[in-house]
Amino acid sequence: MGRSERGAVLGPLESEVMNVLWGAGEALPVRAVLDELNRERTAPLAYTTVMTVLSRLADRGVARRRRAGRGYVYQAELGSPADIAVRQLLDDYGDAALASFVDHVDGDERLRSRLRRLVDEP
Amino acid sequence: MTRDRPLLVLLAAAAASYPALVLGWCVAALLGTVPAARELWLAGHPGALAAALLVLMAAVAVGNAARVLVRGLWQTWRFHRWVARRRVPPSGRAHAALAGWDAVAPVRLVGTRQPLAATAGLWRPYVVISSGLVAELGGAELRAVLAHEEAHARRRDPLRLLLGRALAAHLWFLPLAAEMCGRARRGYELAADRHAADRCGRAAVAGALLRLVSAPMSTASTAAFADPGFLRARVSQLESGQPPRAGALPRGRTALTMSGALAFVLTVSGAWMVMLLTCPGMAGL
Ligand SMILES: [Zn+2]
Repeated sequence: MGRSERGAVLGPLESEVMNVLWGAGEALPVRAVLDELNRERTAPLAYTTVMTVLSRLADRGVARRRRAGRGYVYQAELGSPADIAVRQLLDDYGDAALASFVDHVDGDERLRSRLRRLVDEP
Repeated sequence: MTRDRPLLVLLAAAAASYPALVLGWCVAALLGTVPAARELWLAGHPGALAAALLVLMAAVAVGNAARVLVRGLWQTWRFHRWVARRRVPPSGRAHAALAGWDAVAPVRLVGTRQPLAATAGLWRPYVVISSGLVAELGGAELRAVLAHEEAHARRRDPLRLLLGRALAAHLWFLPLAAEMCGRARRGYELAADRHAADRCGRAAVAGALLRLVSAPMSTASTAAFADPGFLRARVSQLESGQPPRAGALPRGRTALTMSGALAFVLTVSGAWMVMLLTCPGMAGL
């Protein structure tokens, strides 16, 4: 576990992408992340490369993806490398033998309002 | 102990495959040592080919199951160590909530901002909650989560899950086995919710779910389990008080499972043919 707690849970490019998302503090489209990453690069990254990294981060629950207009915007889901290490540990472990209360999925609005009704009933 | 049909189905299927796997090893030994068997193999006899396939299937089955078990034990140990390192004494609200809690399984509090509630440990399971969870939930909701986890601990669900996964990995040529494993897992979650609703009231369970699905960093089990359809089933169960009916088996997987079972039977027949053709004593039976 020492390895993952030092931050090796993110690859080098993944860390760069997450730094952009953490720095922005708001949801960004792929293009904005790409421009930020390419600002100081001599060999610019391709759009598809960044898109792939972002969607992988979203699949792992490290970033959050949301539809906006014709494309997606991305936002940091976890606050720090330590949070990511915890998530990674739980995901690995959950895969094997963990029984936990709730998964990291958004309940849609309809489900949430059904839950609210259950909470409010006498 | 409630019924656990999916796990029983997996156990039965794995047990049924075992004699055939042993047959596979015997035939492998024959092919390696008895000249008559080797001749069949060299002549490309269909029985010998089928037997070789059976040996291959058996090797993959045992290898898969061993990999899942070893990985599960390793992950359990790693998680256990993490909990030991992050463990903090309950203070403030956590202390108040735990003080009045008549615990069936030991509860450990870990200091991390992410809301986390889990049951871990195979033989003597314990409940883990995080300080982030305590911060997120009210007293009644926290007790509902504890009751849910306690149900997992009482039934040794982590052990069942690991067993189910190992059996499904063993039965890799039957894709419905993975489906059964998923059903077992969903069954455990629903049973734990029922227990929590009985003990703490369904409003408390609903409240905890509501807070955690909308929490900014709610975390927990696997991406594979992050399935909005399943949350719907949990909510429906809370509303009706009845466990939801299991859906029909997926058609594609059922068809593949039939083919897998047929292939298995064919390889077993092939292996028997090699036995009969090469063991003098058996031909006379
Ligand atoms: Zn659970």
